[in-house]
Amino acid sequence: MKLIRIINKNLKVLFRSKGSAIMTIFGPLVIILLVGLAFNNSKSFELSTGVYSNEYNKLTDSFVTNLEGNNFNVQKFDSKDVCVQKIREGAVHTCIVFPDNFRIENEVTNQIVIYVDNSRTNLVYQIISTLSQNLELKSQELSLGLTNTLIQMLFSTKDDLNNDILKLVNLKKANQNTYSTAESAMTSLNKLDLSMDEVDLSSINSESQDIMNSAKELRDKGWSVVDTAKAFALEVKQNTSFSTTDFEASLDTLKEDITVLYNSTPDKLNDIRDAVAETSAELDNLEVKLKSATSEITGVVDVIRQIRLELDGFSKDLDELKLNLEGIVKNIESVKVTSAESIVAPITTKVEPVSTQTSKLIFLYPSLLILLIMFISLLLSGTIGIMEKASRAYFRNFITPTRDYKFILANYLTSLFVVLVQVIVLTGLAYIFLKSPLFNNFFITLLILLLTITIFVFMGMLIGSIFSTQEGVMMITISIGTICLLLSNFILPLEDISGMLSSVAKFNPFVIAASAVKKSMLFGSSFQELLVPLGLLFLYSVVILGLILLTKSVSKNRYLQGFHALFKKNKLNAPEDSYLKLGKGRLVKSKAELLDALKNMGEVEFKNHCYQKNNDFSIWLKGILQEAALARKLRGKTRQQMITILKADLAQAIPKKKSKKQDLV
Amino acid sequence: MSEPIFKIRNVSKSFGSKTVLSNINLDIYAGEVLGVIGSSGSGKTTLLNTIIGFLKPEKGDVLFRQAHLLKSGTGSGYDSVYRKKFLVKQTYGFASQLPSFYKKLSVKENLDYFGTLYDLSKTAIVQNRNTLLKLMDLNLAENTLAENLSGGMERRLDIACAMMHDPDVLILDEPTADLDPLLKNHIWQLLRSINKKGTTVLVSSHHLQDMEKLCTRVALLKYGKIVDIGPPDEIRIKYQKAEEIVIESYPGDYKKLLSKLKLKSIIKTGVNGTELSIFTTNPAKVLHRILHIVEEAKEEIIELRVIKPTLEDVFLSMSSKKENDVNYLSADKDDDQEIKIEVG
Repeated sequence: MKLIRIINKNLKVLFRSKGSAIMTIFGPLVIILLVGLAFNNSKSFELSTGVYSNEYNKLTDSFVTNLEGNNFNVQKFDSKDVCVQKIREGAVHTCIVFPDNFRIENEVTNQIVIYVDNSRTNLVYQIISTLSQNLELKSQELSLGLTNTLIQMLFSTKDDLNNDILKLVNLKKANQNTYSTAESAMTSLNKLDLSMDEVDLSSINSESQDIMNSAKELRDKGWSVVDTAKAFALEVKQNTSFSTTDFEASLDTLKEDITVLYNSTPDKLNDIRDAVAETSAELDNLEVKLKSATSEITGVVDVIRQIRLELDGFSKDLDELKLNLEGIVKNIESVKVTSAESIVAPITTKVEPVSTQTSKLIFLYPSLLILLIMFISLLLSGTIGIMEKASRAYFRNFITPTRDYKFILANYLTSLFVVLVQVIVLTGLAYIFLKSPLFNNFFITLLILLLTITIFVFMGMLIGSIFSTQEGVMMITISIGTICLLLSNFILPLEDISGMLSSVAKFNPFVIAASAVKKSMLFGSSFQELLVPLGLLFLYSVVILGLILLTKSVSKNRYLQGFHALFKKNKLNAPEDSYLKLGKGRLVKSKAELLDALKNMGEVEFKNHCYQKNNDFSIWLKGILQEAALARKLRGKTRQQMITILKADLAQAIPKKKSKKQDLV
Repeated sequence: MSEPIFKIRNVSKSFGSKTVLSNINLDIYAGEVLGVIGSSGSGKTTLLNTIIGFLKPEKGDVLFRQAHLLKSGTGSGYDSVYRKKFLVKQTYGFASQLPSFYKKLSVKENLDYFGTLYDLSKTAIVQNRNTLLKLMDLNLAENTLAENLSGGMERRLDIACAMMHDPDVLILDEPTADLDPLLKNHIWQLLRSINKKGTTVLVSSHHLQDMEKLCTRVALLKYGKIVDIGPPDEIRIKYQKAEEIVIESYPGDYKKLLSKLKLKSIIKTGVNGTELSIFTTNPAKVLHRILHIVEEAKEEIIELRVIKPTLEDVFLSMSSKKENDVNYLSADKDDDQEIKIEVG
């Protein structure tokens, strides 16, 4: 209840104080909005570049066109010096000088010189990078053309070789067929048997005799059969009525035929003997011819064997040739990088974003968010603290039975609430308009944000408890914020910062928080991966809280002492009804005003107030301001002397310690 | 008289080398209105802040009666306000010289806020707030932001804030500083009302005439020491040294009158407009003499009155005497006018 009431009070006091509300709530949002608009694009910045070439040709023009097509504002200059001078004047960011006779030829080294203003440390690297990238692209384009031609030639040769190899294979196949045919022919020839056995015709005569004998025997037996048959016919004729005349006549004819056949046999045998003699002569002749043929075949086989050997050698040559051609093809094929792009740029660097986001603002978003949190938290909690201290009610809070920690906690929760609202608004807008990955690792991101808010709120509270003026809080808050910002990647990469400072900067809570939010939101890092930054943020929170409690205790004591000084200071002025009245109705209520009045007072008026040893000023100082000693000093003094005495007194009245104390309360 | 609520014992407090309070002994009783009177720098504010435990003295202690403060009746002993800071805070309300509330909160919000800080229930907050708004005559301004209040309303709101938890003791440090006479009267009347309701009031002020009317006792503080304490009348009588005879006559040749008025008991004379003032330690004799002279001079008396010294006069007289500057009392009766007359 008490806590809620204090928070409620804090919010009311904060929002009803227009200056504070605008400064701490709307100010940072406006800044972030402006920053957001400035960075909300995916393009590089628009660079203007000067170019110079002693003769513009197609090649230089192609470079220029390429640059213009990549957001470069290109200006041509008449000389290199003018071009470089324009960089110094800030008219262009960079100057590109093309070499003389800029063309792609053998034995020509084409070096493009880029002039940059290296005093612009935050821009120069980006200019060099962007420009080099563009020029490199054009250079690669040219190389690509040349290499493509080479590669086409090479692959055309390879295809030709492959065709030749195919022809060789066919040739070898034909060669093998010929070889086989020759071998087959040789085998066939070798298989030919042209030998002839000896023909023995000597037995023909005896065999003829045997045939004659057999023929005689056959005639005799025939005759006997015919005689028997005639006897049988006669008997039949005799015993029967059958006529056997025809039969007997046939038997006589048969007998005669047998006799004729028998009688012709020796002639026929002689004819056979003649024929055999002719055949034998022919055989002898044939034998001679066969012997000749056999000899010829042997010669042919030798020739064929020779041809085989030669075919074999030819085949080996073909094999060797094929192998060579295949080797060449293989060598060509062994060129793994066959694309012109790869040859021109064997190693290409492709910047692959780890995030799918494209807008620069999204990349900047974690840092912007932490930046917002840092400034709002510092300003807000510092302002709440200082508003509380500067408030008239500060004293009354002291004398109520409320523990200090409740005020600290309430101030923390108030700041946390306001900052969270702003963060929600900002993240909501970012989510709607930038499609920011708000719900990536939502709870881890939320935890980081809470810890970050806590750290910076605590820092603001610490500042608020140390300093006693709004100006002091603003100054130190802005200083701390600026230091955090400078020692971060936001302006220059941390890697660009010198060694020791870079090491220190790594522990910058802004850096830790921004990095952690980026990892969580854009890369979806897990809790374990973010354990170290989370631990560091927590540790910072605890340490700063400890410092707040310590400072609170010290400042409370100082306040108690300063409280007395406050009332004493208040008494420097006379009560309203006891002002010193001078001429023309002028009223004086303090020593300082009396000094001022004396300085501007005429001598007549002065004498009107001073009489004898006493004077109005002494009486008033002693009676009203209780400054008896000073009153005594002013008695009987001239105006100028009074001025000197009052000056000295006022100078003493503002001790150095007091001003310091007031600042620290 | 009952046992005191607060016992201030041998309290000494310094800021650096300057001793602001020196061996202060003082008792504050229930139901009384105790006024602390002292010049600027006499240590009034420091004394009040020491009593509430806001400042801790180097020496001595401030004790408060627990049984009374707790309204429980259990216990009768005293305890140091520095040891029981939280307990003692529940029992007093404090209104400092500078109104202490949030300018950006309305009257009602301020009261509710401080009521909450005193751990009051919602019902008690509403009840106390309404009572105080009525008592302080702030009903119509309850929703007005404190920064828009007039000086008198600010002071009343401050007192209301101090009263939100219905404290037993209301401590006010110069509650009428920088207020016009009407508003001062309003505040004094208010304090009387508060006291009538049973609240003990401890108040410091340099408006001593008002203190004389309000306080049941006054403590005279000078250079960090209580030089005397008692009912205002007793103090006044005790330190009474001179009375003022004021005469207005026609045609008013006061130079002539004064040239004939040569008495040792006359401390100081002066002309204030058409009136002649004569400060004397023997008013009866001077009155007799002046009437005689006026008659001789054929002056027509328009007005004649004798003014007894106020507590303020007594206090200033004491201060002046201590400083061996007797003239101050008469010269400072009506500072500016007197000075102008003398010069003229």
